[in-house]
Amino acid sequence: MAFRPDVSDFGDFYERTYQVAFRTALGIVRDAALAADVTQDAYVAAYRHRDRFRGDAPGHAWLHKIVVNQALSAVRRNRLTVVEADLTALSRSLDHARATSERLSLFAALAELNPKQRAAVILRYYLDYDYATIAQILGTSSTNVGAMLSRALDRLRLKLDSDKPLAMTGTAR
Amino acid sequence: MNDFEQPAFERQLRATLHDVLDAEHGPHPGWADSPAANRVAGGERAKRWNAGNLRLLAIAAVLAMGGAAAAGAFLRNVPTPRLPETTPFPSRPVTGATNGWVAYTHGTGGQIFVTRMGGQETLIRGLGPRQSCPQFGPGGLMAMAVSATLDTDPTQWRIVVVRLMADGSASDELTTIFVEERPQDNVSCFEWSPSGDSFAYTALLGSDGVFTIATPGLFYSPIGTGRDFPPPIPDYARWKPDGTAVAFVSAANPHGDGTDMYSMIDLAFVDASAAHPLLRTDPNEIINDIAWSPDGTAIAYRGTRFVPGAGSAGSFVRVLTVGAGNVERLQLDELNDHQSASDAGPAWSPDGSQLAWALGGELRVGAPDGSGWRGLPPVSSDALGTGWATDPVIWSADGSQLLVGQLSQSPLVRDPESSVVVYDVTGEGQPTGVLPWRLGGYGRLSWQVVSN
Repeated sequence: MAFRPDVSDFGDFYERTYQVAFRTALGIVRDAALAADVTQDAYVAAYRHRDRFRGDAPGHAWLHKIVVNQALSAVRRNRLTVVEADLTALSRSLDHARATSERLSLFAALAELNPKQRAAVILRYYLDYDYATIAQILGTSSTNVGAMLSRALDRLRLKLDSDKPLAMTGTAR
Repeated sequence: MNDFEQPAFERQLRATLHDVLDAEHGPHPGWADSPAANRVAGGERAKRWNAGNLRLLAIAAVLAMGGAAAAGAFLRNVPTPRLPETTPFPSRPVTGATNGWVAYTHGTGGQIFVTRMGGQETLIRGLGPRQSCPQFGPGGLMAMAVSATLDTDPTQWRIVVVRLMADGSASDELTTIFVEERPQDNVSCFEWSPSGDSFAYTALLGSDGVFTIATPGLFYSPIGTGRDFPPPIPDYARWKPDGTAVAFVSAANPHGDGTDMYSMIDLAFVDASAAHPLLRTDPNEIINDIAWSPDGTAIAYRGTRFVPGAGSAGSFVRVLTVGAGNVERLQLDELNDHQSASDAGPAWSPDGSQLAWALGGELRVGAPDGSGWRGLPPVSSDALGTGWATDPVIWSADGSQLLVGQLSQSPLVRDPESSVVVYDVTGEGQPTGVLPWRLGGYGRLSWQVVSN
């Protein structure tokens, strides 16, 4: 459905996209309350720029760009505050047969990344964007996105290796 | 870690993110009751009234300037030459030997290999656990970035120069440059200076948006500050052919919310600490690579134009004339409604008479004034006939061949394979050599053709 810039359509757009936007923010800021605020800030910005959105295109890269930038700004504003994910809360509704300690360790290890690396990881491995789109969202080149992700994966592996035996290893099949 | 373990790790990371994040639900799923709706509701009526009146004022201003003629002049686009039909898609690329060495990394990198087309690849050993950015230089020299640790500790990072031997092995280290001040984030690969005695690269310095371009051993100087947050991330440091300056690209985010982003091309002079702006793109245009003409009078650049909400809306290639107080740009090519991930280049031929680039997976060659263009056949194509290319495009030293990376399918699909193709530009442009298709692909290609 094409998005038209009026309030009722924006409400529909909001409700269709809200949860993924919230989860994207959560993956970056790692705090549910802050992620909720970031998401609201993002929708306010999106509403104000809604005339620039062409909603008949696939995907919501435009919205996710705003969410990511709001999240990075929030992390920057809150960078003196230690924000750690509450893994217990994050895992409360998981299927516990699948919620292995290895996976929780992997998610916890994301805290080792700097915010922009974390954003790149979320965009690539949660939202499945290609490098070119991630580059547009983060305001860098595709080449830099590749380097950023490469360093992020290396750092995650190192963290997990140092946390053995609880952590998974890179050789998991 | 070897290259075959990385995809498994990536799959597990993807699954983990979906497991953990998909179980979370935000507290404001309905628009009507959301804080955002409350915040925008108050000023909406006043904003609509203002917007309507501003639109009327704009129409009145255009009419006052001369009506349709003024509006037409304002909206006129630079004409784009139409490309001729391409030669037929080959059934299979021809695999053969060539006298050039190709250096590259595999997949996400970590180790550097060299090979000849169709030959055995050789791993460059013994320099450090993590190597990247192989760059051929003068006289068979090859430079690379080496980290003493797998986790790239900035104090342990150095540029190493070796000489490539006849059997593809590397000599002992000839030069080692420690870059202890190297910032941690967003460091680009480096480029040899024209004199071959230093390198240029870009980096962010800290988190306050200051960035630097440095040539180890020559100068290390901050040349600008961030224009907004997130800070502009510089990239594509390219030496002016006379060695006096380095051009580079940064992207700015003026509203801080990702809308209306644009790119800048700046020129940093070796003997000064300030950058001189050369070009600011229109909003929602991002530059993806730049290349100096051999005579230093022009910069060719490739960019992506995107529509908010629609991702990439198309790509373009333009030439910027660099002169004292007089900078002009000419649009050479554009391709709309395609994935910019299938673009590469541009690159100038060694004599400056031709430019090569890839748009939509098709390698295109033509004169920099827009004449005599042709498309070379893509080696790969998907069901729709779309070819896929990847950076870089490299000319041989004699201008007779072009090397470019090509993908088996869209990078939107996970784990595409890639190959490296060499085209004979002097004939019909048929591919004359390839490196084998490889899952994960070739990264940071560098190519040097040596004499027989």
